[in-house]
Amino acid sequence: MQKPVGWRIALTLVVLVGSLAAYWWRGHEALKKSPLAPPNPTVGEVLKNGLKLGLDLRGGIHLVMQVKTSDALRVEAQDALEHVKDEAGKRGVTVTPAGPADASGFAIALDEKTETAKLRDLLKTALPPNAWDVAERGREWKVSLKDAERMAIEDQAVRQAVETVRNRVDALGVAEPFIGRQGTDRILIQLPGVDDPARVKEIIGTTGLLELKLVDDKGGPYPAAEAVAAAYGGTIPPDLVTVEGFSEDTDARTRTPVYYVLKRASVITGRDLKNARVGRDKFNQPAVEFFLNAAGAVKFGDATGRNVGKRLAIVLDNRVQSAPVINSQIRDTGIIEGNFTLERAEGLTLVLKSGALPAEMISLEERTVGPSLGLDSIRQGVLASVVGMLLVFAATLIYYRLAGVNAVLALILNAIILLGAMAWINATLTLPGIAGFILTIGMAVDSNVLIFERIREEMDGGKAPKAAIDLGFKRAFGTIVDTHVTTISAAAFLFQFGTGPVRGFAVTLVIGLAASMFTAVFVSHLLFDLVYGSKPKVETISI
Amino acid sequence: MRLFKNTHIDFLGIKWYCIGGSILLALIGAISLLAKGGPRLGIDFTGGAQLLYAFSKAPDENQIRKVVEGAGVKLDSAQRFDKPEKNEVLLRIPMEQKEGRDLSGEVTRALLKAFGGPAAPAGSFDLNLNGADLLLARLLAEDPEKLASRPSLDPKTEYQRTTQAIIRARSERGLFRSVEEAGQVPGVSPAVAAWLKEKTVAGPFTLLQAENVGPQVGRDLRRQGAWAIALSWAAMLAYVGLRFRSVSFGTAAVVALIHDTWVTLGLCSILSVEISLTVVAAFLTLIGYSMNDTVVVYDRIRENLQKTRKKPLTDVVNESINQTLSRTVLTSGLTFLVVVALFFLGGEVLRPFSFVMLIGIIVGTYSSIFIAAPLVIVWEEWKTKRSAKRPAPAPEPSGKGKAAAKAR
Repeated sequence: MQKPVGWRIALTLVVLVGSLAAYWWRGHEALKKSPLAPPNPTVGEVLKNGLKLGLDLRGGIHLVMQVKTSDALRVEAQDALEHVKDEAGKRGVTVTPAGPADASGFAIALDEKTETAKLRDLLKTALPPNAWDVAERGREWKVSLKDAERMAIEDQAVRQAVETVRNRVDALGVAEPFIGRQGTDRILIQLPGVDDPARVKEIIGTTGLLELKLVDDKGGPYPAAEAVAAAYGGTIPPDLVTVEGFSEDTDARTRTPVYYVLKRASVITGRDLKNARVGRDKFNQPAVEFFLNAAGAVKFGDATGRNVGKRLAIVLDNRVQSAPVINSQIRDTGIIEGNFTLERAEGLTLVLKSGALPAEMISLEERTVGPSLGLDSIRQGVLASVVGMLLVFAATLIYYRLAGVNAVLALILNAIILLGAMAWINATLTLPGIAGFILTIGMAVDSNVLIFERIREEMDGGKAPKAAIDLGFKRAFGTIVDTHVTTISAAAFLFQFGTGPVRGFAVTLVIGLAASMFTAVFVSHLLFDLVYGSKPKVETISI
Repeated sequence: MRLFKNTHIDFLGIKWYCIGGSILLALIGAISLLAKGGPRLGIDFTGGAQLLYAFSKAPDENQIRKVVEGAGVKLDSAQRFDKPEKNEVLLRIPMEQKEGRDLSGEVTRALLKAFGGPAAPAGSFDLNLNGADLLLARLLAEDPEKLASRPSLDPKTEYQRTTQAIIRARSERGLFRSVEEAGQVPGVSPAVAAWLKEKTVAGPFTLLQAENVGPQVGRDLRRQGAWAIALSWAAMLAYVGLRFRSVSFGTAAVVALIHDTWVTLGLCSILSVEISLTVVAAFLTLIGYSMNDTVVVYDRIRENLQKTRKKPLTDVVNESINQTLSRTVLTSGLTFLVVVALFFLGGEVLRPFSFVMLIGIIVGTYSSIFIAAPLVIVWEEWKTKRSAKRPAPAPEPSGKGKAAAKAR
């Protein structure tokens, strides 16, 4: 019986050429994107770039950061409290906060003279009603955020943090970054190819909240927090705040912490910034110059004009960097001195330009791989793959002789399809992915073994060789489907569970096994038919 | 060549020895797990940090330990890693209760202060720690080749090329032992080499890898890992149950899977293999792989049951195991070869993964032949006995016949 082979050869060739072409095309695409690629890349260079490498092979950083949304809530509460106080002043109602605002809201202390009706009316009109709840409990009224509003603020803070991080990463020029939200308050940041992780981490993690605040007349600096309390007779008035800083000393190593007392309200903040750049301070140390936008300049000019001779603290991320005396009115520029290294000054410039984070971020997970470790891993992985493949080939050839050649050809095609498919969907190759690649080769040969063993059995059972081949393929097929379903569904859980590298493993495994359905069943059968199909009678086959 | 031809090994005759042996192995594993307080979890699951440094000269672990602890960072251990000539040191740091401490930064700074020497004042460019963009910025700012005065060349492109050459050479070598070494990299001009010598330092070490997992992420990963394994068991139970329409096949297969996972975990515990994310990945792969073997045997049992309805189930199962024996051994052998290559050549990072796969392939193959199929018999025999003991108002079909009918 002559079986049609034409379309089967055509399909096999299409898949083969398609896989090679996909890999080749991706290699060219990747080279085009890299800025330093030679204009006429060699074959080797294209082949090297066909697969996108994961963080663990290329080097880079994987960070999971948590946005401390409570910061944003506290700021919101603080703003609301300030607004209520302003309004109260206009209407002649006395409002005494029972303490500083926190993430849940703020409280107002009442005494005998408080007119509750007026206060109630004030709170109702000054605050947006669908955002705040007022709980009137005797002498202390608690004003707190409604749940929906709280969630909206938290959500906004995380979204804004994602945006800020993205701006900073873009400014650093990282190629192919991934920055995404994870769950409610986490941000996943993956930056492949970063070669100075410490610097990148610092730039991403710096809150970058710049505040310029006037120093109180008795504002210090004091050498210790106790000294502050002593100077103010126990407690500091609510409109002032104690902030840590460093003594002004040129040598960073001898600088000791000191405490300043500042006005709580900021003259200007980072939001009023137009630009920043690296400059030099009075010791010719690197410093950061900043420039204000029009609105900021008006506020700044006004405040400095009224307070000549007083000191102005430059507070960055809640730490006083310096507190120079205002010699004359300043309008739209200032300088942050902090004994910076050039790197730190450059980093801070970038941070200020990209805007402050809405809240502090803390790192929950950090995985950094240096580029040299990645290169080493690639070398070892490729070596292990090649040796593993050769071992399988050799064993298959020894065991199945001519049919072994068939299996080896199927395996090679399997590997080519796997690489082509990964290049086509732009999947990431990770170190466990390399392990997945060579495991796939080991497992893909299973389908061939199942079929060949079955063919042998059929021949033992007295079937003629050609019939045995067809029966072998037919009868082994159900089992092959079963084995693939089990392995692939285990890999699906792997994908669900895993982070980057493990996912890479799952992807490789699934694609490789799916490809082996095609190569071991369809292509192997075709190869048998090509060898034996045209002969009228086959006495024996080499299996 | 053929390994097994028409074998007639009575696998079921020794089923109680096998089941007994497996129970013993599982018990030994359980004792080890109990004695050691559970499996040895890596930082992915416990939280904590691991920092891997490569030094240019042979490092002194004790001195490193002193420096790191002196900087206020607790250390579990400071050990040499990989081949001795690589000069690598792995630092293990226990979990901090508070999230977000930048341990890699703190330790790197402390080590730099201690080993950097007077040649590395703070703020100078370290060829082994700093990266391409900073180097480029410095070259552009200081312009050692005086490219700004030559309008035909774009300084940025020229210096970018130099920078890339230097950083790529660093990646390939691991680190630079001296500034001169960086100056000799092909593509670096004498002017830049002189500038490198004057303005940069080749620091004493480079950070190869830093992993810092906080308590929250550790907890999450622990939960996810346990769920992934349990769910994959459940999925296998469902698949085999549906595919073979039989509770006994499904249950026996999953008991065999749990057996594989447990025995492998026990061996990991005895040999103190650390359970990391990739090791859990190996466990999941193993579950799929062992199931694969079991399904091949089950498929054959089903097929034989359809062919010969008269034969007792025990004979059919025995025959099926024998018929698939050469396939089982051959496939496992080939996969084993591949994993051996991975174990010896795949590098230190993948070694725990390939180790678990090595054990797992052996255990999984063993269980498919000696546990999964015999358990079906045990289950069916037990059911027959139970129905026989009962007063039996209506006579039930025999266990064997039922299995045969069901398994279709």
